[in-house]
Amino acid sequence: MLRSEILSAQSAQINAISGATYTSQAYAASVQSALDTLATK
Amino acid sequence: MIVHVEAVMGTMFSFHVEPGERPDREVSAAIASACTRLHDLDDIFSTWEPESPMSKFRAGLLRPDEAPGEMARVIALCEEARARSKGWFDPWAMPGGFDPTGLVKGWAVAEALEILRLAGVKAAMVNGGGDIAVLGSPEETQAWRIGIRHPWRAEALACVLEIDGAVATSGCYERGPHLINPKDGKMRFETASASVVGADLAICDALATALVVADEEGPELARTLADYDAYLIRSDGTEHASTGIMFATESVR
Repeated sequence: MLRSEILSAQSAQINAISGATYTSQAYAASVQSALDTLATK
Repeated sequence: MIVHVEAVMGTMFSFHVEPGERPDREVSAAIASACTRLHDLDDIFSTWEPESPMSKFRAGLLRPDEAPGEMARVIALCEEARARSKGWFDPWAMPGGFDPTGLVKGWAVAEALEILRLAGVKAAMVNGGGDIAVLGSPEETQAWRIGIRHPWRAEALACVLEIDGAVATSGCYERGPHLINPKDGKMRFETASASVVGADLAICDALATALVVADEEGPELARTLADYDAYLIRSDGTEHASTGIMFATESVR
């Protein structure tokens, strides 16, 4: 069952995240935003 | 790695580009031209802007032969997606007339990536608000590793997929009910998230929407899609994946 197996986005070493379309406002708090900042460094 | 984020189409587009042999200034110019293309497509296909070619087309004020060439391309992709989805993606059955919104963003991401491909970059990923197309391989790993957002926890992942083409995900957890079953008009579904992996992001985007609105028939549709693979999460927490879905090794269950 999905809900008992939650993967942390921080530890999964992903390049990007796919999900339902976020608004430009919601992007700031998103995992993709964190990944963009990380990739810039 | 060159990273750029562009606000367009009501969301954010993230670019991660590995220049390879190309000078950084050429790559930056290619990213800028990809962004110009995205804004141009937004101007053509906006359903919010009453003067856009899309709005005029929907209102019957613009014939297909008077519309920009992109309109014919999107209509052809919509026909392909309707056939592949067995009618569960049907822009012609939307209230208010022809509405290709469920496919245009994915197609636009693919158009942006194509500009980077033509510029000769080594590797690139474009993420348009959750719909992703890639080319080449990122430096550290063989395949691009894409997290699928957990439908009930924004900061968590449901799984990690490895892709070499494209992946799109649909669901109603970000913006509430906005998808419509073309067969009965229903807007509430027991499929929380549907992701589709394959070669063409426009088709992935449309099929992801189709799998959500197909609701209890989604898992069967996912198993019988030609050329595309799908991963569904139902609201009771059950998951369905077609055989070609490549889970990253750490998230195999």
